Amino acid sequence: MTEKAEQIFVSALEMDAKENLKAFLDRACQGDDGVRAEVEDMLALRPQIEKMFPEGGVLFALTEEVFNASQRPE
Amino acid sequence: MSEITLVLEAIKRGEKLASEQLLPLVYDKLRNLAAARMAQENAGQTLQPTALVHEAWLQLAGDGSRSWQNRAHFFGAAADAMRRILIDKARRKSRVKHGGDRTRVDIADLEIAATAPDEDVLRINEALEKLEREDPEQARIVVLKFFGGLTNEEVAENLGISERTVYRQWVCAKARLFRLVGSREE
Repeated sequence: MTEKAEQIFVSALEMDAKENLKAFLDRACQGDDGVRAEVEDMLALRPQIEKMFPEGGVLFALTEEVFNASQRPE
Repeated sequence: MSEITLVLEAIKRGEKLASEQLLPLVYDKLRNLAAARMAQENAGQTLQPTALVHEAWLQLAGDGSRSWQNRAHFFGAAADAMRRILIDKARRKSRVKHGGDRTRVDIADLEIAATAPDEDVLRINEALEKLEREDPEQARIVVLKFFGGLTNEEVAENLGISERTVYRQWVCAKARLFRLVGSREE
C-alpha cells in the first residue's frame, strides 16, 4: 500500500460518522484511481483484518489454553 | 538481577535456548493464576487475558521488575519473549502435526493443539519479519500490541511517540500484514 493510500485509509477510519465517505474519497484521492482503489479495497477488507488481529488476540488464545489446562485434573 | 530479567535479556540477544527456559516458567505461572482467578470470580465473568498475562510477568519478575526503566520498557521485553515463546510453540506443534519430532512434545501440547491459532501466528510472524525490514517502527508496534498486549498508551510510552501515531501506525501495520499474508497464500 502506498503511503498516500495508507494516510487516506486511516483518515477514512477516523471520519465523523455523519461525513460522506464518497465525498471524502473524492476530495482526498484527487482523481487518483489507483490510490482510491487501494483505499476502497482496504476498507472493504477491514472486518477480515480485524478478525486476524483482534485486540489481545494472541494473548487471549494463550490464556484460553492455560485456562482450559487449569480445568483439567492434574 | 532476577532470573527472568536475565532470560529476557538473553532472548533479546537472540539466544534460542532462552525461550525454552522461559516457556515452562510462564506457563506454570499463568496456569496457577488462571486457576486461582477463576476460583475467585463469579460464574460468567470474563477472564481478562492481557491483565492476567501482565500479572504473570510481574510476578515472575518480582523485585527484578524495579531494575527496568519503566513498566512499558519491561512489557516491551516481555512482548519479545511472548513472540519467541509463541513462535517456538507453533513451530513445534506444526512439526508434530506433520509427523516429525514426536518424542519432544508432551501430551499437554497435543491437548491444546486444537485451540491455538498456530498457523496464523507463524504466517503473521513471517510477514512481520518482512515488515521489520521495510518499516521497523510499524513492526515494533505490532510486536508490542499483538504479542505483548500493550495498550496504545503503553506503546507510546515505550517508543516515545504519541498515542495518535501509535493508533495510525497500528491500523496501517495490520492492513500491510494482512496483505503480506494474503499474497503468500495466493
